[in-house]
Amino acid sequence: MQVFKAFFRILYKNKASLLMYIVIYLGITLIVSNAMQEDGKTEFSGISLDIGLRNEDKGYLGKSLEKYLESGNQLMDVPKKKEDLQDAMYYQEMDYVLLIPEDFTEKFKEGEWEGSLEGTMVPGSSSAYLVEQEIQGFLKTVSMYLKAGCSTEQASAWSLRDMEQKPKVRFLENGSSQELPSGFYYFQYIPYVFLIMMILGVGASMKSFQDKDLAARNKCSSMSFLKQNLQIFLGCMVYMMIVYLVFMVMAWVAVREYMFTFRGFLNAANAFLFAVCSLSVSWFAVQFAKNTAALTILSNVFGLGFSFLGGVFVSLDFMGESARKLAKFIPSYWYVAANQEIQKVASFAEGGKVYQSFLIVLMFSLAFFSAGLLANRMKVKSK
Amino acid sequence: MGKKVVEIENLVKRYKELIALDHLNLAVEEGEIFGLLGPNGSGKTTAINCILALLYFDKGSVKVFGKEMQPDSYEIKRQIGVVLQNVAVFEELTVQENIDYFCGLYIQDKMVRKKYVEEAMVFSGLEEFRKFYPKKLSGGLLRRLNIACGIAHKPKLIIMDEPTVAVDPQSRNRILEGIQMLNKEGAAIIYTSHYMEEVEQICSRIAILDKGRCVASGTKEELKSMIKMGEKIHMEVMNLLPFQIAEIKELRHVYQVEYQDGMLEICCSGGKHNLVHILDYFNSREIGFGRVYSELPTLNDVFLEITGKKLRDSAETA
Repeated sequence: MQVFKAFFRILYKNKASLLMYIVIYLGITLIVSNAMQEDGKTEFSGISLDIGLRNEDKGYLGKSLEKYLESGNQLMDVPKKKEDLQDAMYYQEMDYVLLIPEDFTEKFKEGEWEGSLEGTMVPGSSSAYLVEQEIQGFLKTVSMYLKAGCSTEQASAWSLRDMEQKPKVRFLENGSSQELPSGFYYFQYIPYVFLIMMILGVGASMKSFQDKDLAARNKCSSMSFLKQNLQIFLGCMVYMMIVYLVFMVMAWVAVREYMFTFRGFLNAANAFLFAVCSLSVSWFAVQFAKNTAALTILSNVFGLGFSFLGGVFVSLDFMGESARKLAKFIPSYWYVAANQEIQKVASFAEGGKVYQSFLIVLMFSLAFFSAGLLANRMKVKSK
Repeated sequence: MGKKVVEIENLVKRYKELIALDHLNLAVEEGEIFGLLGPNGSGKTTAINCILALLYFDKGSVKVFGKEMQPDSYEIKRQIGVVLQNVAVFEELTVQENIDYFCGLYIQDKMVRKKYVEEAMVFSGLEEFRKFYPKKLSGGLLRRLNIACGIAHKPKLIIMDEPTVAVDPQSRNRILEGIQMLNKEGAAIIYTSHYMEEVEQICSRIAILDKGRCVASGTKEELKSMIKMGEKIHMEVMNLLPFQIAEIKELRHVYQVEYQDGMLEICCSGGKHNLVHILDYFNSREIGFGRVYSELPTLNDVFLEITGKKLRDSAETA
């Protein structure tokens, strides 16, 4: 097994870059996965605003309004000088400034309160509109009680009581991406890292064996050419399995519960088929790489190209119709399609579309392998 | 006459319109170092590639150890060691790993292989560099590694295609000594090089290839006797006139005279007392001269006379 051992020795020399990709991938996947999960758990909470208030009202209503605003916001004294007030507004020390005139209660009783309150706000400030809504809401409630025949004191007290009632907010489950399990995100980005790792790993080793002089020397040896090629093929398969298993073990650690569901199983199968496909792509890509530097470039071309066009990084939903049509000629599209479809099925029996995508990925593997063979044949002939 | 190790008969190899080997006939015998000489594009490397079954040929036959050589003649290949023109080692493997890898393609037994690898490292003086990667080796060490990878499995026939290209004199000397040692241990060696003095130093028999044909072959002495030149005389002479050069050309056995920068080069065909006749001429004409020395033809002279002095600037086809 000389060739097999040499294959892995060469691979081992490239361990640093391969490990780097694993670490980067894991980091990004876990961060994205957690971020998506946190978004789904976000709770509703009210906000407190900074309100500058000068209450000159001698009646009861001004005090009630002040008490109401104080209950949910931060009240501040309004500077006496106009310049100081402008500075406070400019530096957003206050969201809103409210001046309650001395005859406010009287005017309110007479129904002439519209325009009697002086409110100042920073133009375009959404917070200020919230304050205005709060004021309007309170005053309308008071007005309603007054019209019903209540005294000002009573209307104010009841309005305060009513307005203290806080609504309960519950987010509706609308089937958006927020409900997707973290396992989905773990598997979503696998095409990129598989393509890079296969092209860089397998490619580096195969590139060495395909070197014109080394190949000639190997052919001169007493080990049959078929035996040598079989050992290289075995090396590729073992490497692919190692990469696959490493990612499955990491999946078992990162999203353990998900992995023991039927969806986890389907995702694992999807990833395995894509690993096979990545191996074929790497065999194809290595035929066009003149050296290791070219191999790095090709790994990025295939890794990033397939990932962006196939909908790995950008959801297929955001793609235009023509882009989606084009993406269908890329294996990562079918991987992503299967990954999304897996989340919609409830059992193995419902996975028709998933299995269809599996089959297409497998066909792509065969296509790339055949194209690689053809390119290799042409290269050998040209030499 | 020894047993034939390699036998090439009427070998023809074409690259489309170009005839790389034109009915080539060669035979290498057991225990000899066989030098293969020829200008660029003469077909040396093509011939070697045909011997190794790396190339299909159009006509003729190649026998190695008495058997037809085929791409799947693994039993024959087991007894052949190859040192190709370009260094062919894995950049990612250390010196020891490289030798072990290539030795392992022939030797399955781990213990035997370990011993052979060690011996190859000692032979090529690479013991101190066993953990080094090829990138860290100098040109000479790299060439020695290339040789060690080719001979570690103790082959009976070693084919070396310009193994000393671009190495310093010390490394070259070491390599040549090594080749002679391998030959003494019983290996037949086919050696190609552009360095005539190397070939003259180590080869017991030489073949000169030109345009895909073997234009001359034999021992050094046999080759030298094939050419017109018997002696070359050099003289330091100041201000030699054209009519005097013409007179020298008329002297007995002189067939070529060249005068440049005060240095006169006179080529004489075989015959005795050539130098005496020339010195007599100079004395009789009272022409002053400085240093004088005479030399016998070298392999370089043989090569240039047989293949001509015209530049071969076409691409190496083989």
